[in-house]
Amino acid sequence: MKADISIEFAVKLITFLIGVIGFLSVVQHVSYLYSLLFVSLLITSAVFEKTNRFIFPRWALNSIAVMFIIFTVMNMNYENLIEKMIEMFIFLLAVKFLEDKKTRDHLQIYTISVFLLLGSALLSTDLLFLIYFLSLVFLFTVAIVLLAYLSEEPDLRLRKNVLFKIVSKALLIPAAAIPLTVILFIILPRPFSPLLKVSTPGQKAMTGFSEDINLGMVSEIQEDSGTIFRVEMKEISPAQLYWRGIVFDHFDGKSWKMSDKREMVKLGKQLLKGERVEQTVFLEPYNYKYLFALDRPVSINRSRTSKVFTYTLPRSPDKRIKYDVVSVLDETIYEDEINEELYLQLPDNISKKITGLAERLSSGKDAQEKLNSILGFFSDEKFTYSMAGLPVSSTPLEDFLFDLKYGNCEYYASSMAVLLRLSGVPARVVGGYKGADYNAVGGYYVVQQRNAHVWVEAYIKGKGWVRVDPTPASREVLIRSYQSGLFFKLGMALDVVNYFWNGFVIDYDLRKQFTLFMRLGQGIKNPGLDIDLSVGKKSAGGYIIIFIPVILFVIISYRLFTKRTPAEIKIIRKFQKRMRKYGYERNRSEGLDEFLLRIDDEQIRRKAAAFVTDFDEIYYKDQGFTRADIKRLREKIKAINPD
Amino acid sequence: MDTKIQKFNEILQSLLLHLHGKEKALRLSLITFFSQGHLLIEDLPGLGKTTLAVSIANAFGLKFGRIQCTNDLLPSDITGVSIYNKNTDSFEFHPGPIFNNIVLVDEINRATSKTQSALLEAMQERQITVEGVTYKLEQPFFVIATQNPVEHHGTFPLPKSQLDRFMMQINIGYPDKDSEKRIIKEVMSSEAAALTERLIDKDEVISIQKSIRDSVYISDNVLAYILDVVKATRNSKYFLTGLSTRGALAITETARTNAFFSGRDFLIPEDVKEMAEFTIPHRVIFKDEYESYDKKEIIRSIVKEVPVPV
Repeated sequence: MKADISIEFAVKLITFLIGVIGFLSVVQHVSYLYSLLFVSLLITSAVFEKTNRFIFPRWALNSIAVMFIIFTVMNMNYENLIEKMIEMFIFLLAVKFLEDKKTRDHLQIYTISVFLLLGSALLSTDLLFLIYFLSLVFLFTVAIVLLAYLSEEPDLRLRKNVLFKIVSKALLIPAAAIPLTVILFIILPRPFSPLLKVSTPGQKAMTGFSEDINLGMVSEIQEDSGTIFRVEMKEISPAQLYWRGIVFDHFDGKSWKMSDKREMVKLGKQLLKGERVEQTVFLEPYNYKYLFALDRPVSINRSRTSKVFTYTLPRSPDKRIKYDVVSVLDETIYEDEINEELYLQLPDNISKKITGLAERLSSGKDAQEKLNSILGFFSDEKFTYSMAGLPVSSTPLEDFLFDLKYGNCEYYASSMAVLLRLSGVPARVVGGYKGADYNAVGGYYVVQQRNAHVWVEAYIKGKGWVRVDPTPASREVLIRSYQSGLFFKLGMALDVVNYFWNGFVIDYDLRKQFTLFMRLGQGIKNPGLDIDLSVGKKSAGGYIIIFIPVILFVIISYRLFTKRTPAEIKIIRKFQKRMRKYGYERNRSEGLDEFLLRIDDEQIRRKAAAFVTDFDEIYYKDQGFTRADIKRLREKIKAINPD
Repeated sequence: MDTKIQKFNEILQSLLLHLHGKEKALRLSLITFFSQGHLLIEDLPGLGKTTLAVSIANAFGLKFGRIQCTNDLLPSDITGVSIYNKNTDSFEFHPGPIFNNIVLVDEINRATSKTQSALLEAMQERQITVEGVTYKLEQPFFVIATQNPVEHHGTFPLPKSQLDRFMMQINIGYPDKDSEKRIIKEVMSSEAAALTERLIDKDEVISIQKSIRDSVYISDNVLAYILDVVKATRNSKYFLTGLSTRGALAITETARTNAFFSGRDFLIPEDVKEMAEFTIPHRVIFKDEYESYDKKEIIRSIVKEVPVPV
């Protein structure tokens, strides 16, 4: 018959799927070579299956596999352990597929796939893992069930609907385990910090922010849409979104560096003038150790080293870290005395052209006027923003200022700072990020690598350090155009899911567990209290996103797996309750008619009998209670009274 | 159905005119009869066992036969014998008293085991094989056996395995004062019973039996209840052995008839309960220490432990 599906085919199909999922879960961590190898071997295997000719003898495949294992082990070291293991398993998986598969071979393929998935968990913990994991669990269960059929009767053919039934029944097994898993996940004791956090050196090579500014080195800058950090906070005006990271004070003609001469900032009370904003920052692993925060950050819980309002970690983070910041939104930093020598430093080889320009812009003006004049120069002279065709030369600043008149923020900020210093105004370059996208659902800002930015701070006596951003507004337009597309919006939506997956599943640790139970306890004692299960502060909404499906799932499975109280039982309970009211308690082994005989009140007995007769007629004839029946019976119960 | 129930009640009432104070026993006898089973009445002599049987036979207009058991009664006295006929030069079968619709077997425990088993076999098979020839028994076929529980001299107690063949075992019990007074007044109760007018004929009897089988519905949950009761007897501390499947069938059949005559076309747990004490005790073996207890009381206490479906 056409509608029949051979069990062998079904098992092979599922085995393929399992193998592919195992492979997919690690595909981002392996080289193209291995991906290519795997895919081509898989296709070869499919051809073998189709023609039912397996040209490679088993012993040959086995010896190749063994040789490969030896080869891999020899190349292993502490750094590449996991990658090598994964490559080895991919190879073994591909080899397994080339064989004529027996039950044992199928099982081996499943095991290898599970190993691959575990390997992927060691390398990354994003949401995709969950998807791969769930698909594997479900497929695995189905495969095991079908394998049992296959090993009993290899030639078995099943009707589509029968197969469907077997599969759906098999799926119930892991489905039933999910609610329990969720509960266990929440209540099982946790270590203080998440376990699945293995450092992956290769992963954090992101562009955007850098520890130094090198002008004239590249002509083109590639924008990176990768997320560098997320900040849980309220939404504020976009103009104030300057995320401070690093301060450069030393210029050598082509690049800006940070000298070691800076002193610790002593915070004066007069500093705290603007609006206080509390933030919780989730910083992705990256190559440097600077912490970012809204300008000006006055305290960061993670780091005590504050140099010119920048904070650093002891070393660059190799996993996502979280820290709390308090910032004061103020464009000036008051400081009485500064090391003028440091902030007026310039290399000797500044060209005459530039000094002339500085002279022209600043002569006979006070500091504030000089600042305005230089800032005005950048807007007046029709400078434009560009990331391509940047001046690659030994005199990048000159090229930028006089010839090209376009460049990226590094050129603007550098030349501005140089012009300021030339005209006697102490200045420094600040690196960090500018702008961000507010994710209203999650209540947090997403800052991407392409938001990387540098700007200038100029010192004006009596005022302090003033933030100046010479980069034209066209930059914003450029960034915004990226961020209004459909894909970007989709990405933001996904970001919320990922964010909570990380915040709630990956980072679920003892502390959070403890807080959760404490809050739940309080909530039970004090039902009016809002239960706030936030990662940081204001993300209860996010928990609802995660929890509602879980709760729904639990309810639905409860409904599915437990019998509901049948209508007849409910109605009988109602009847008994009514009768109890008049002092007649029915025995569990007592028939309804028998019960009636015990009732001495004539009226009650007569009315109760009306109910019993009606009920018996439906119940003991297996007629099934319709809505109308239930309604009528309820009325009859209501009618029972002594007069 | 209603007319059939009416008929049943008419019979009951009419018979009661002659069987004062025996309503319960009469009702149970009729239930057994319409359930196509056989009845064992265990009681002291002189309480009207015979009268009951004769009355039923008469009321139904059925052929009635009586076997008075003694210890020299032979199986052939029940089944009949083949006698050589000189004229035809062949053996002719002379049917015994078992070839009647209603057979009263008086004092069954006085017959020897061999005779008893011949009888019980006939009850079960509803046919008899004599000298290689099989004879069908009458339809309907109803055996009322009586036994005397007290006097044990020269009796052969029915083996438990055979008691199972009786659908019910009942007692008649002493009549109340009023009833007894009337019985004495009418002195010749036995003759009076014999005069009971015929109320229903053979075909009607068969038709009622058939409609009980066909029209009374047993729901799964009542069936489950019956099986619970059966299971309870099997697990009971009072018995050595519990109820057999034939016993379960007997409860079901009698409960069905009971439901029918109560005017219902479906079974309720009460039907089962009412029948339990008459269908169970003679089928189970009581442990020695409980042998002297009121067996019906024990059965009632067991049934009381079984929860009803709702």
